[in-house]
Parts: sequence; structure tokens; C-alpha cells
Amino acid sequence: MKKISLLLTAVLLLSLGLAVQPVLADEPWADLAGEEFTFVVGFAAGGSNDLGARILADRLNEMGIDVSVVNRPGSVGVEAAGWVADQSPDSNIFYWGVPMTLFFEPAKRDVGFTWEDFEPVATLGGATFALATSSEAEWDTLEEIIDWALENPGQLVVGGQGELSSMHFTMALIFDESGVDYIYVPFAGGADVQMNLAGGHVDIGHLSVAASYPLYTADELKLPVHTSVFVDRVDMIPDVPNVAEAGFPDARELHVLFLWAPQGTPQGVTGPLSAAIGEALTDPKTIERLEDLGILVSYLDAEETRQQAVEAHENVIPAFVDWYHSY
Amino acid sequence: MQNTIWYYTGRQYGLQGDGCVFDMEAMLAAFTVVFAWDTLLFIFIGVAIGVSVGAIPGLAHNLPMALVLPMAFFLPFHQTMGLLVGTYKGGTYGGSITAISFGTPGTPGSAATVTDGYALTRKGKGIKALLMGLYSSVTGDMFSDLVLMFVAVPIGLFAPRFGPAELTALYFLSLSLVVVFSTEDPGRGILSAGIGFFLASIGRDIITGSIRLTFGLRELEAGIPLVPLLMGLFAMPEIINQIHTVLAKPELAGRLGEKAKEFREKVKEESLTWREFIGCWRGLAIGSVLGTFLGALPGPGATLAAYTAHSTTKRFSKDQDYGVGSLEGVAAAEAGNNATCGATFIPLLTFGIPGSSIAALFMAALMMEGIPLGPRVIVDHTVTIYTLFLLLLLANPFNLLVGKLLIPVYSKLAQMPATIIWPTIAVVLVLGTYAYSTRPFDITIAIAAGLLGYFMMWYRIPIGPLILAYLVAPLFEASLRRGIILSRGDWTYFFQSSISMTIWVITIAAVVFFIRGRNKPGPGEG
Repeated sequence: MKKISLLLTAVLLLSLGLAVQPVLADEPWADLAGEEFTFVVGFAAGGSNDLGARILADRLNEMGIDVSVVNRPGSVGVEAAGWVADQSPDSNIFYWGVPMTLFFEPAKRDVGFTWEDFEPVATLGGATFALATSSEAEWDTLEEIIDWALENPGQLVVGGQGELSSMHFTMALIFDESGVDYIYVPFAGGADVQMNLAGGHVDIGHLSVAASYPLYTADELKLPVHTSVFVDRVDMIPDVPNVAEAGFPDARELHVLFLWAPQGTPQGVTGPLSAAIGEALTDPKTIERLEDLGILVSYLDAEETRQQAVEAHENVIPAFVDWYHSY
Repeated sequence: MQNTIWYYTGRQYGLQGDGCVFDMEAMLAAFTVVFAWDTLLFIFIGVAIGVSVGAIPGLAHNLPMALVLPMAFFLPFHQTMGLLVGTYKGGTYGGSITAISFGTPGTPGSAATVTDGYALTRKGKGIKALLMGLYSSVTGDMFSDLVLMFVAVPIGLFAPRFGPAELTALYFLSLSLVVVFSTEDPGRGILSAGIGFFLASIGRDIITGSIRLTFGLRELEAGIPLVPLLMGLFAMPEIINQIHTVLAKPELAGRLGEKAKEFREKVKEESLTWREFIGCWRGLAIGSVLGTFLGALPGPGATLAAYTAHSTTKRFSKDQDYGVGSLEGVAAAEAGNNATCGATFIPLLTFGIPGSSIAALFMAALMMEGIPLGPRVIVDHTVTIYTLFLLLLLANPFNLLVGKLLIPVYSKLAQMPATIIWPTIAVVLVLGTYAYSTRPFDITIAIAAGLLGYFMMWYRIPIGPLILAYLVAPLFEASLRRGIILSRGDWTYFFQSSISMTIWVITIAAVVFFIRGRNKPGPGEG
């Protein structure tokens, strides 16, 4: 049995290494065979951002499209995006990232690029975020939290991710809008928020559903709301309402992973690649692997990805910029 | 703040009940999985990959681990885990080989080993130092694994109590170790720490995200990365020095360490004795305990653990050569960095909180296996967690084996002529630094850091305070500023909890204690 598994492993390794499985001639991405593509990830290897890219690349490789993932971490992805923006349109180098880097950072300051320096390729889907609080807390809903905070000004401590970030803005949209006097403590990431929530150093934590799920199922955390922009109810946490239901439709968050090409990249490349990604994201195993990382697949093609960016720049970014400058 | 501080007691889901009870049946099941030849083979392959990659200057073990991870989808769990655990442990140890042989740390975690390890090599005691590095790595690692297995729950429940106030006190304590480095020459020590502070403040503001001291260079927004900085500071000055010697005084540019002897005879002569190993018990104990403690906290990591252990041991060591070629120094630093290996799993297995990038990789691998990490994981997936424990323990003898196999190879390499070995190291260094994050700018940083290191060597400014300040400053700044935000500027917040008060008292006591020990020999660094 062991021998067979090892043999299978060797065969699989070999086939992965060679990555020369035949491409079906009538598929729209047939012309991409023989070309090499690079997805540049703006974060270090091993995070959900990086692993999302690697899982997709694995599936694309299986489909006969040669994709490699390169990490260029630094400055919340700005370095990677800036580097890709400077590549020539026929380089086959793509930027794999998040709206925080591509939409929000350029809105705050001159980073040397804007989203319009890129051509959209596809959106993979994204993580769902939520507000979390101790199961021992006296509140259950967002409304009760806000009521408590209004009665106890300056007492509520909210642990979020980054200051003046898009995620900080979400908290402001909920608590500032409600007229609450609260303390916002910026942490470096989800793990940090989780630790401080566990230690009771903050009352409310803003983190991904994937990160809070283990403690939620162990009845140690309550999730008053989630902030998905895609769905009203999340399968993993069916009882948790959307923040829009709680009266804050603007606080729904655009946490997506997407792929962009340098401006001027021919449609003959982005179109088929986008179609191939769409196909890759119908593979049940790939979907499952992404879900294990807390990434909900919700594919958008190039045009829909562009539309998403346009809408974000019409509806969210101006308010964000106003908030940023008034802070 | 609502109510009083609450934290998980673990009561509700049996962490202190059935979760802590040793489950013999599960252990037997885990035994059968782990002691299969394929699992052992994968651990061996992992350790071999880890040690080899760890020994390449610049290239840390995160990268091969991220590359191994996708195999989780088609390899059985125990094989993937064997591979990952092996790569992790081998990589953490492997860095010390080049640190001792060539004064060039293979990974950031082994930077603290350079001072004593390389000094020993130059004295012709390279093999002793390499063996000490290996044995102390395995000892520290073993200690940390046992702590993980038997006291993970109490430590794990304690860790979240370190909030901004407690962490501020803890990092201040770490910073006070600069005093240790500076006791012989306070001026130079403080100058070095000052440079470290300055370098740490370049880049993105930890709290607000605004950009500091980058002179408009986008590449500097990410700050000065640790790997190229360390590679430059340690390796470049030595390379320049050796090239200078070859050009100016070719007759002195012999071989590193003792001149060529019959190798077998050399091993016999130089092998580490049991008495020497046990004689370093202070370093081993301090390294193991501090490494485990710092490893269990999110943030500090192997590099800081090794530095903290090395400088703390200095005060307690009876070795006259401490800091200028002491086996105990190697023992403290190496036990310190490897002791973070087991401990990094503590917050992961008790809360599902990945405290380091490595822990995040393991979390991803476990989640791909359908195992949700969190407080219930030890209860719900006992066999899997026991399997992980056994793999962690088993990787240690493999580390010993692979280390034993590679030490003769590296000590032979160290005997190559200077005109071959140093240019080769220079090339590998540049390649490794580039491969680490594929940024050409990192090479520039390494070279600039190299010039800084050469300057510091020339003026006998110790490197230790610089690195300590560089590592601790951002952690200290972040927790201090979070604490100020959280308390709305009330400074008494930092002295309110019993944990933070205890740490402040230890800090004051330590500074007094270290200053009184000013007569200790050896400059410590440089």
C-alpha cells in the first residue's frame, strides 16, 4: 500500500514537474500553451494571498497553462504592484493582489501607479470578514454593542487591522457614523487581533471569518455581523447577519483577490487567460482548497473586474479619501 | 473597557479535562503512522532539504516550505507533515553551519552564533564548534518539543495575557540587554544600538502606515529587510577582509582554521567531548528556556531568541573566552534559535493563532487536511496532533544524523584556499539574498550593510547592539503606541497588570545586575 502511494507520488511529482498535459484545441485558452506567465504576489510566501495564487496556478498548470508565482513582498503589496505597472505589455507578468493595494493606497498618496495603469484580468473571490467579541460579553448584536457604547462613552475598545487603512475605514463607517466614542487600536494582522481578543485587551475584533471560526465553533467568540459584499448569509456561519442588515450597507467590505496585467497587454492574452481562470475556478477540488483557506470563490471576468473597480472608485474611494484627510 | 479582562480558561471545552488526559490509544495510532518507512524517509528528505537550504547564506527555510506546502494536496498527511517539519527543523539548524565555518549566517536565526562560532573556527576548533552547534540545536529543540507536548495548554492560555502593556515591558527588557553588550565600551555599544534604531525606523510607520525616512525611494517603503542586512553586516566585512589579506599579504592568506591535517585524525583530535558539552549547561539551559518562551509569543522569532539567549548567558557563563570563541556562546545561541521550533506551535494548537510565518504555513497545511485549528483541536483530532508531536520529536535525531553527515563536508570546505572559498561565498551570498524575495534592491542593501559592517569592524564597534535594537525597536514601538492609543495617553496603563509590573521589576534588576558585572571579560561582539 505504502509502495503504491509512493509510486503514485513519484508519478504525480513527475507530471507536475513537466506540466505538459495536452491543451484541448477548441478551448479559448489553447493559444496560451507554450507561453510562460508570472503572477507577482505582493506578500510573503505562505499567507492566504500567496496560497490563493499558488492554488490557482496549480490548476492552470494542470490545464496546460504555464504559470509561476513569484513573491515580491513589501509595503502592503505596493512594491509588487508598482513593479508590474512598469513591465512591458508583452512581458506576461501579472499583478496578483487586493483592493487595499490597488485602490486604497494610491488614493491616499502618490505611489507611482493607479489602478488605471493596469488591465483587469479576473477576480477569484475573496475572504469574508466579521466583527468578533467574547462569548461572555453582554451584547449579542451590533445594535446592542452600539447602545452599550453610547451609554459608556470612551469605554469600547475595537481592535482592527492597520490605521487609516481600508479596514479602519470600515470600523469608522460603523462606529463613527453611530456617534460612538470608542477607542480604535490598530494591529498588524488577523493573528494579532485574535490574540488580543483572546487576552481580553480589546472588546471587539475585526478579522476574517476563517481566523475567528475555530473560536466561534468552540463557543468562545460571538460574531455579531459579517461584512461580505457578495452574500447576505455565509454558509460557514449561517446565523450571522450581514452588516447591511444591521443598518450599515456601506460597511460591506471588498476583500477580493484579483489579477491585473500591465496597461496595454493585448486582449488576446488577458481574454483567454481570464476564461481559463473562470474554468479553473469550476474545479471542485480547487474550490475546496480555496475554501479551506477561507477564500470564497466568486469569479468575475475582466469586464466585471473593471466594473467592480469603477464602482469602488465611484462609491467607496471618495468617501475614504475624505475620511482619510479629515482624520 | 467592558467588565474586567476576560481570557479563555479552556474549561468549557475540556482543555483541562479530557483534553489534557493522555490518550494511549491515540498515541499508539500515531506511532504506527509515524514509524512507517515512508514517513521516516520524508522526514529525512525534509531535514536534508532544510539543512542544505539553511546553510545557503540568505536563503531561509520559509521558501522551500512554501514550495513543499502544495504537496499537501496529493501526499498523505504524515508524509507532508514529515517533509514540512523536517525542512523547518533542518533549516533552523542549517544556518549555523555557515555561521560557524565562514562567519556568514545561513539564516537570520544563526547570526548570534557567528561571534563565538567563527572565532572558534579561526582558532582551529571548527569541528568542535560545529558539533556544539548541532548538539545544542537538537537539545534546545527537544526541550521545546517536550514543553509543547506536556505544558502547551498552560503556556498557551497564558500567552494571550501579553497585551500591549505587557509586551511593551517585555520588549523593554529585551532592549535592556544592549547594556550587556555595551558594558566594556558604553560609547561604542550605544552608537551601534543607535544605528540599529535608525535602520529600524526606515519605511512604513507601524501604526499609521505613513512613510518614514525613505527619501522618496519606493524600495525603502518596506523598510530594511532583515536578511540582506544580516548578510551584509556579517559576511561582507569578512569577505573584504580576506580579499585584502590575499592582495596585501598573500603569505598570510592560508586556509581557514587549522592547516591541512589528515582529516580522520582531525576529527579524532577535535571532536567535542561529553565533558565539554555538559560544561556548557548554562548556555544550553538559558537558550532552551528563553527560546521556548520567546518562541511561544507572536513576534520575537528565532533571531531575537538567539540574541537574547547569547547575551543573557554572557552574564552567567564562567568561560573566559565568552564572546571571542566560546563553546558556551555557540550553545546558548543555537539552543536559543532551535528552541523556538516547538514553541511556535503553542499558540497555534491552543488558539489557532499563527504566531509566525512558519506557524501560518503549518496552519495552512493542517487546514488543507481538514483540521480546523483552535482550542478544541487536541480533543477533536488527538491522533493528528500526536502524530505532529511525534514528527517534531523524530525530526531531532534526523537533524543529528544529517548534521553529522554534513559537518565533515563543511569542515573540509573550510579548508579550501581563501582565493576559492571567499569569492564563492560572495557569489552564493548575492544569489541567496536575491532568491529570498527576488528583489534586486536587497542586493544593494546587503552591499551597503557590508560597507557599514566593514566600517564598524574597522572602528571596533560591536554589531550585537545594532541587531538587537533593529529587531526589538519595531516590536517595542508598536506595542508602546498601541498601549498609548488603548489607554488614551494614560501612562499608568503600562504598570497596571501584575505581569507587566513583574517584568518592569526584572528589567530594573537585570540592568543593575548587568552593570555590576562590568568586569566580565571579552567585548562580546565585533
